[in-house]
Amino acid sequence: MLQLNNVSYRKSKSDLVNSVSASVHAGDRLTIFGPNGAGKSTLMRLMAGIIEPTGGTITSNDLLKAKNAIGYVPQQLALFNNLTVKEHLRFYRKMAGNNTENFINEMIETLQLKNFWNKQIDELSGGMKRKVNLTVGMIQQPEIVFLDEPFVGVDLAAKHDMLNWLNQLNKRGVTIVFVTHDWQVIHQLADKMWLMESGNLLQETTVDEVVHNRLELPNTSTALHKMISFHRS
Amino acid sequence: MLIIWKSIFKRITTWVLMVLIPIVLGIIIYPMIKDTVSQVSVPITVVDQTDQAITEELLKEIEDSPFQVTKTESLDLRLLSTGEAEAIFVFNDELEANILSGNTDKIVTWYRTENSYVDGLFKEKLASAIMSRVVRAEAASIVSHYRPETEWDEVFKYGLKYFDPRPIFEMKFEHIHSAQNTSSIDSGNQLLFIIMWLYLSMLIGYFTKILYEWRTDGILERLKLLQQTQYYYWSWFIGVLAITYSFSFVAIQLIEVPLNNWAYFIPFGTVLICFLFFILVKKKWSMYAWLISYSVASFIIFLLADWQIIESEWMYLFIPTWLLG
Repeated sequence: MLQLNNVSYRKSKSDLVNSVSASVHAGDRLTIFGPNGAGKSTLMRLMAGIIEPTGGTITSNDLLKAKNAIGYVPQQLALFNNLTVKEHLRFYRKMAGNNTENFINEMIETLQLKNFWNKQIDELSGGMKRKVNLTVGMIQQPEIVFLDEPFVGVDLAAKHDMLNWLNQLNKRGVTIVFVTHDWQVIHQLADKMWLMESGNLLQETTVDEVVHNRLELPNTSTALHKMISFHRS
Repeated sequence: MLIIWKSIFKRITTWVLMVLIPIVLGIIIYPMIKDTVSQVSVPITVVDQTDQAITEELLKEIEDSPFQVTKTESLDLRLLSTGEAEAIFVFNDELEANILSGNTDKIVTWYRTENSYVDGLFKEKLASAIMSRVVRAEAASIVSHYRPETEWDEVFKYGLKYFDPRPIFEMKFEHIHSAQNTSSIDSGNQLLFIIMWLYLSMLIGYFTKILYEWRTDGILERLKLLQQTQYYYWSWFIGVLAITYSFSFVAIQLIEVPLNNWAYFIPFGTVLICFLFFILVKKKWSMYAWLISYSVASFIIFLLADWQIIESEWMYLFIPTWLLG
């Protein structure tokens, strides 16, 4: 679905992503894992086509070349604080341009947004804002969705709704790529894992391998070792 | 894209900047500057203890700015020390009789202080008005003496013809570019214009700040991904241009500055430079620092250019100077 060949991204004389080669397949549930500053978000933004690589190539299949095939949910709440939930969804649906009325209604229903329909974003709780952020990021009914720390500040109930919705979509064939430090989310939403540190993709592995201690990391990756060991303990 | 503007107009700050500040500028600053300019007049006091008809006649003749003449019947020298009068002119009780008889000795007493600077012009005008009457009266007396059949009044009026400069001087005003030109814009309007421009750059800076917030919040990335065009930048640019030109149009009606062709590009240039700051300067506060520095420099350069202290091509890098171009 998505093929990365020696993809690099260099900014202000530092390599944020360094010669990454890997591939994402249709229907994957993939998490990019690593310490802060590892280049996870940058790699995801490269794959989503928001920024262009300074080296290497990213090739995609015809499905992803279609307009609105890629959904992106940024880490920040990319919302207009003084517009209502209804205004957001109407605006972005109009921008996306395709007929996704049923899909949007399903999202509203599953994420329980209806009760907050006429509320402004700045009147919503952190969890509700995250739900709206997720809805807007997927409003065009994408084939692949990139989620950057989508569950920060979300309570368990809201997290449950969101995970449930994302897993439903994955079962219908939507590819999910996300970044998080939350092991609970990783367990419930990912099968594959890319381990990153200092802009390098150290290993392509599975959640199962990481959890069950079958993974061998290079000794240089101290931060990753700590993060994984902490989870196992 | 209208919804983006709706989100902007839902902010209180937008209304403060677009409604409250223009009202404050219109109600307080505008009349204050206009009044200050119109009040630049020289207070002169004329004392005529016998309230003679010729006094009114003389004052009417020299009534002209920048003098603000007050007529009283008693002399009060404190007016000079308090600054209420630049100079005091006391008319002789027999002023009219003295003028008609050709006697010009001590008919007006002139009081002034070491701080009186521009009262000399009033003195010259008054002297001229008196002397024209004295000369005509003298001429009428001589003619009446040698030709008794002629009317004294008729000759006196006839003499006016020789004090009217129109047949001698023909004045033509032409605008000629030269280093000797004085300020091209009225000083009050010049100040109002640059205040208006500073306000506009502040307003555009505010809209640019919103663009920064959208960039930081990831809204621009989201729009880019969904739309796959840069249309939202155009929407911002055209919207800000429309607001800026609307405000400029109203302000120009009030200020009445003479416009050249380049002046119409001032709002466009200001929006463009803020947009360039947005593209080139990554941090919001750095953009503010650049914008404020540029605005202050433009303010100074504009005034220096208008006073012809500087005249060089580089001054046109500062947008307000396009008004002088």
